[in-house]
Amino acid sequence: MIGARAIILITSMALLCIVGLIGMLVADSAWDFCFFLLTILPLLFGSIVLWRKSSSL
Amino acid sequence: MTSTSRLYRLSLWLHRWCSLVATVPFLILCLTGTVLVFHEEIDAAMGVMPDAPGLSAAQRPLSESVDAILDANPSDKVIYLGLDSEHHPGLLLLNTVPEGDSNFDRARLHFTDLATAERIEAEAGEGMSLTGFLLELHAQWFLGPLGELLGALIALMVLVSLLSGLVVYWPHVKKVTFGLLRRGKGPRLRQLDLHNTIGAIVLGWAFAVSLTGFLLGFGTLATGLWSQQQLALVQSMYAGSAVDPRRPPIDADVALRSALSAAPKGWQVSSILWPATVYSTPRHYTVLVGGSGLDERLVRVVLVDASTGEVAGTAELPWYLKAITLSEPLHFGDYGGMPLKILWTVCTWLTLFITANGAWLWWDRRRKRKAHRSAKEIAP
Repeated sequence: MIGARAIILITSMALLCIVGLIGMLVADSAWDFCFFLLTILPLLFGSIVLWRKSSSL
Repeated sequence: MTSTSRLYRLSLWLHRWCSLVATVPFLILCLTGTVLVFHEEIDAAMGVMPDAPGLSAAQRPLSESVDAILDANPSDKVIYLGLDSEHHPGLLLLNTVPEGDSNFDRARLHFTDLATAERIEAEAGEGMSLTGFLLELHAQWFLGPLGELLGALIALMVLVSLLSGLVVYWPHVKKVTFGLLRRGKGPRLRQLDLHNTIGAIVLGWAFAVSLTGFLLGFGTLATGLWSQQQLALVQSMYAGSAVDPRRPPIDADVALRSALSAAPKGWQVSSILWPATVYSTPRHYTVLVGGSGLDERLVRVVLVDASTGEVAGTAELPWYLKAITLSEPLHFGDYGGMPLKILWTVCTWLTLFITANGAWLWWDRRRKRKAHRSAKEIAP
């Protein structure tokens, strides 16, 4: 991913992470897992991207 | 020069210098922060906090616990009582100070078992614990409220560094795919790719933690402002009608029941502050009540008359104290159990890595420029 699309993706992931962090604080236990997934989304996505780029080289 | 390149240059300058200036303090904050995330586990392992006895159906009146502590400390008075059924079920936390004191500077922490009203020995009351020491370093740099403001300044520099980093990354990502680690082109490009990719991954988390750190830096200042503005007004109204602060006519149990009667259904008392402290009046208990979810953090203040047991008034925290109160869990990451603590640790170390390798990138470029300049001077 390159250019504006990459910047939009990075900004969106950052915002989703923040939503996840606040969501976990506000929500009851049933929603905790969903918000936790949002929080770790950038880490998961970044790990996958790094792994794919590294393995394709 | 176009406005775009002017913005880029300004962002590059801000990104470089804010990061470099903040590198060493940020290293200390990351290291202490990593330990502090696990403060509950460390305190429990080191015996600082006693094991919580657990909730019991048979609970003795709070006043019996207060009496037990007063009997054991005849020259002290109780000024604070804390209940935390989530983290310390069945445990009552009490602060005592020498009888003439009204602030927490010389406060000692005591524990009792709610089911038996008997004292529980723990190290928390004896000097400073490891996590207490690290917290003082992390939050105040051993400089008191001034250190908190210094912490806010460091957090601001990290915030500026993050946002300017995004602007600096913009032209870079036009040429290099996100996540690509270029190999065989030297360590500099590889480190730069790692810096950009990891920076993008932790951007949201780092932004949240830096922003909350910035707000927490104003904690003491904001509490002081609130005390001076709102509390001082109420305190002055009751200056002439003080009660005995060691043995108020109305005990803690009555104060608790009165406060709950003025709170929404299902809310709990989290803290009681005795009359004649900096956070109460000479005549009133200050009781903090909270609900569940967000309401657990955004406590309400209930003033209970220590002579009659009547509720004198309730108040919500001002917006700035609400923001600071909510910042605390979002900064320390201790509200989502072990998975969140592990995430906090991983993100902290990743952020520390990009700070260190960013400093290396700067140093490496500077070194090469110097070498290039020297070579030019030597060449005929």
